[in-house]
Order: sequence, then structure tokens, then C-alpha cells
Amino acid sequence: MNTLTEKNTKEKFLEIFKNYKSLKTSLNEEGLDALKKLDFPDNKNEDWKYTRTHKIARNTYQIIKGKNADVDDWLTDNSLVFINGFYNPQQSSANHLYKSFLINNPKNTAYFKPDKNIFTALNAGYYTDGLYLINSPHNHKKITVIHYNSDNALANIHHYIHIQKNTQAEIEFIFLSDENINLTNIVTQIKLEENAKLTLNILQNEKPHTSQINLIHVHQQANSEFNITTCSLGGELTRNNLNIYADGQNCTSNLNGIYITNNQQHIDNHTLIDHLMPNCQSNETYKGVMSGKSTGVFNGKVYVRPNAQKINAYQSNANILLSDDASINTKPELEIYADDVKCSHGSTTGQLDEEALFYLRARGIGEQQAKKILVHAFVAEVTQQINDESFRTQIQNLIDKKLSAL
Amino acid sequence: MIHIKNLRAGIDGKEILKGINLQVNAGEVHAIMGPNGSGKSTLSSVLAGRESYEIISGEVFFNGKDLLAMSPEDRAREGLFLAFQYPVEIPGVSNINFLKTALNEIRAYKGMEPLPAKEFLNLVKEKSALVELDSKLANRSVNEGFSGGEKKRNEIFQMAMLQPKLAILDETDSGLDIDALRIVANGVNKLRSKDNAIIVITHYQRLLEYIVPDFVHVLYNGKIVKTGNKNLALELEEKGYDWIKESEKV
Repeated sequence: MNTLTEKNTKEKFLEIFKNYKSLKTSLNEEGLDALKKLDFPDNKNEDWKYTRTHKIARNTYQIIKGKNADVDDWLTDNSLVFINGFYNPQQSSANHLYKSFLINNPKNTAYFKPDKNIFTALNAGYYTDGLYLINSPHNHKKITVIHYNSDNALANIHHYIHIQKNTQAEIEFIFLSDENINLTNIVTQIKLEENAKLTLNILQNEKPHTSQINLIHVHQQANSEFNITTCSLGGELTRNNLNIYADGQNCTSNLNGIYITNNQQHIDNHTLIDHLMPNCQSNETYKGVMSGKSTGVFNGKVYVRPNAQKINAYQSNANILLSDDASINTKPELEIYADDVKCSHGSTTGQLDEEALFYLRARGIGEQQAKKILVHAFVAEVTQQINDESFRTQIQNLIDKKLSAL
Repeated sequence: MIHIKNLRAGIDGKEILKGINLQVNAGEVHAIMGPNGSGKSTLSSVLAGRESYEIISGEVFFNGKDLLAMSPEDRAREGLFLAFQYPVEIPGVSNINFLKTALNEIRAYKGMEPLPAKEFLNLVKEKSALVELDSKLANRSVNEGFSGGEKKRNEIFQMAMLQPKLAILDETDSGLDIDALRIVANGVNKLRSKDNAIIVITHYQRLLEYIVPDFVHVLYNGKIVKTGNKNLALELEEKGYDWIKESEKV
């Protein structure tokens, strides 16, 4: 009976794609193939146990090109705008950088397979657009990619970012939405060649009824450096999957995240750093501040393969719960098959330091302001690592705004 | 300045202050001495507004206003200052930004504009010199990695910056060597004026050699059992607290 219901849900969900004109790329085929075997995860699925997607599965979305979006605050002189999963050249200032993932049809990045879960399969089967970005050695300017979702849209976006040997790039992803029930289902494949460097800053700041399933798949070659900071502030349900394959010696991977939640929000960060080769380092710091009835998940996998000696892997997840009803499930998963490695992990969950709060108030600082100061101090370990000052300031201002509303 | 009337307070259902009466006027320095567990720190915590303490009965008027009805921040904005016995380390919050926020919130409460950055920095320079606090410490996180002496000097530095009407120094002498004690006391003395008042809470007479009080009160078992002038402190130093305890039993 249950199976039947689930099938109906899935079939009903897939109806929105009935007018989809597939380009029949190999990725489309892989996705559609995988989709036959996959279903929406239930709570028996360990990987999705705390992230209930049944609400998403039962929503009715549409595939629809949006009108010009309200993104003016975020536009730069080097930005690319996607509305409901379609590129919008009118609002983009960096049209010269836009090459469509639809037309350029690269081979999958190493270790990328779209059959891990239904969302990735959906994305592969039905993506509507995305960037095909090969970094030019002459472009040193930060690229801002704005994703705006509106009108009950399901946006299936698939980006492909390739940082060539000896080059570097700085990219930011901004996610925004209108007040409707929208879903962003985005996959980003990233390939870093030898001695390449990419800094990717992400801001998820959608309105309260928009959900997002986000997969970032990274393949790193020798001597490459990948830095990512994910700041999750808005949205209803946000699931971030970040998979990094350090597949060359001397790779550096820095994974940082901040999530500030309230009301009924759910934010889930699943990260994987797979050390396939020796002499690499990874540093991971995720910090959460949760209030209302919000829920969170942090799951940090670190794999060290048998021959990957001399690995330095650090992981930490710290949380502050500002209300009695907020909760976080945090789980480190370390699988280490090499013997000469340094791996550490730590996880803490607590409240704001009452003594510190009193100290600030006893000097004349109002309670709200004192809490803000302490929250900023708590997340500073992550914000201070954001080198891009304008992005850091934007994040700090948004955190302030969010805390003011509590 | 402050008028405490029959104040009874406690924590976790246990009564610690059992009827405190004390009046402190502008220009005065009062010392409150007493053995461990007599209620000295409870008194300072209750006056500063620490929420874990329960008020059982009594009243406290601060410049004519009901102090106990105010939030901790409003007490500070009205001019009350507590120099903490154990100043908290707050990693990630810069000492300077913290003080700037505090000073400007107090000014806003009084309807004043924020202090211009340059004037603020001049004030920092002037006041940190008062307690011989290395200006580098001002830029570090609040009390983080400070030595015991630096933490106490930082408290007096904050007092100098915020210019309170009433300062309560809660065992500011504890953990200080003689040089640090002298520096802290000098700082406090320079801040004394006919318009403000100071309550010095201490276990030992030592600090009172430097900050000479107008009145000395002995707190014992939640009550002020004896009041005198500075000579009372010397008498306590000589005879110890047992003398008070004995006379209480009689």
C-alpha cells in the first residue's frame, strides 16, 4: 500500500516534465535511467533520515521561465543571472562569460554519477540550463552567479566549472526567491586541474517557502586548492551535499559553513571529503545558530584511502541553540584506511554563554545587541576566513538582520 | 546615590542576604568586608542585576529610581558599574568594539550622539594610560589570554571609559601582586570625585591602604553587623573575622 502511494507521488511529481524537450545528452539518459530505480527518500534512508522531503514531493511546481527578477541589490558588473533555472541575459552583466551547459556537453567530472538520489537523477534527466565555465587565465575578476526562483518554479540547474592548470578563480553563488513555494534543484560539477585554485562563496537567502537541494561535486588534481564557504540563512528546507574528491598529491580543501535558522526552517549539510592520494590537507568548520522550532543536520564524512598517507584532516561542527525547541543532529563519519595520518574532529552543541551575555549587559549593551555580538563572535571563525570583504560584510549584515527578527 | 533598604535575596531557594541596609552618598567610598560566604559577591551580583539571584524582599533606590525593576543594561546606563571579580573571556569580541558599543548605548540612553571615532580613540589612549594597560590589549578579544592582573586593570579601564556614578569593585584586589594592586588603586583614586561613589568589596584590608574608605562595613551571615571608619579595617586585619563571629554569637 505504502509503496503504491510513494509511486503515485513520484509519478505525479514527474508529470511536470511531460512537455520537457530532452536534448538526449548522455547525462540526460543517465539521469532518466537512474530515475526509474529511485524514489523520494523516506526516513528509512539513513542519508535522508532527518531531512523530510515528502513535503517537496507532494508540492506542485512548474517549469516556467520567469520575468525579470528583483535582484538589483545583488548585481555587480560581472554577474550572471538565472531565473527559475533559465539564463536571463537582460539582467546579466557578464554575458561574455555565459556558455550554456545545454550546448556544451562535457564528460562527467571524475567520480560524478547522477544515480545517488532522486534529486540528482531529476537534475540530470531534466536540467534546463547552467553554466559551462572554463576559467580563462586572464580573468581575475570575481564572478557572481545569481539564482532567483519564483512563481512556484522547479529550477533544475546544472553548472560545470573547470579551473584550468595554473589558473585561479573566485566565484559567488547567490540564491534568492519570491514568496511562492519554489524548489531549486542544483548540481554543480567542479574540476580543478593541477595547481588550480577556486574560491566559491555561497549565500542561500531565499524567502521562507522556497526549498533547495544542492549538490556540489568537486574533483581536485595535484597541488590544487579549493575553498568553499556556504552561508545558509533563508529558505524552508535546504539540503547541501558537498562531495570533494582530493585526487592528487598536495591538495588543500577548506570547507566552511554557517547556518542561522529560525521558525520551521530545516538546514542540512552533508559533506564528504575523500582523500584518495597522499600529502593532502582538509579543514572543515561548520557553525550553526538555531532558534524557533528549526532543525538542522550536519553530517561530515572523511575518507582516507589505503595509500593516502600523510593526510591532515580537521573537522569541527559547533552549534548554539537559542531556543528550547530547536534541534541539531550532528554526526562525524571518519573512515581511515591509511596509518600515517592526522585526523581530528569535534562537535559541540550548547547555548549562548550566560556569563558573557551578563558581562556585556552589565556594561550597558542591550540584550538583543549583546546576543548579536556573541553570535558574530561565535561564527567569526568562519566569517574571518572569507577574504572577499564585500561578501563578508553582506553576510554579517544579513546575520544581524536575521537576529533582529528573533 | 544608592539606598538599600532591608534587602533579602538568595539563589536556588537559599537565602543569602538577610536584610541589608546601606546608604551611599555622592563623593563617598564605602568598603564592605567580610569572611568567605558572608554574601559579599551576592550583594554585588544582585545590585548589578544577575538574573540567577532571586529578590525575596526589600528595596534599592539608585538616584531615586527603583534599581531592582531595571534590566542589567539599564542599571549600567543609569550609571552603575560592577568591576567583576572574575572578568569573562569573550573570544571573537574585540575589546575596543565592545567598549565603543557600550559607551554609545549609554550615550544613546541619555539622548546623546555617538562619540566621534577620533574622540573615542583619544579617550581610549588617555584612560588606558591611567591603569598602565598596554594599548595592544585594547585591540584583542575581551579578556582573552589576559593575565589576572591585566583582567583587573581592564575592568578599571572600562570604568574609566564609562564614567559611572557608582562603581562596585568586587574583590578587585584578589589575585593581584603588589605592583598591580598599586596600579589598580591609583586608577580608582584618579576617578574619585565629589559626584561619584565607590563601593569596595574586599576580603582583606590591603586594598584599603591604597583606596582609603570613608566607611567600612562588616558583612557577616547576610547582614551588616558593624560599621565604622577606616580603623575598623585595621582592627579586622589585626583580630581576624573570628572576633566578629564571636561578638555575633553573644
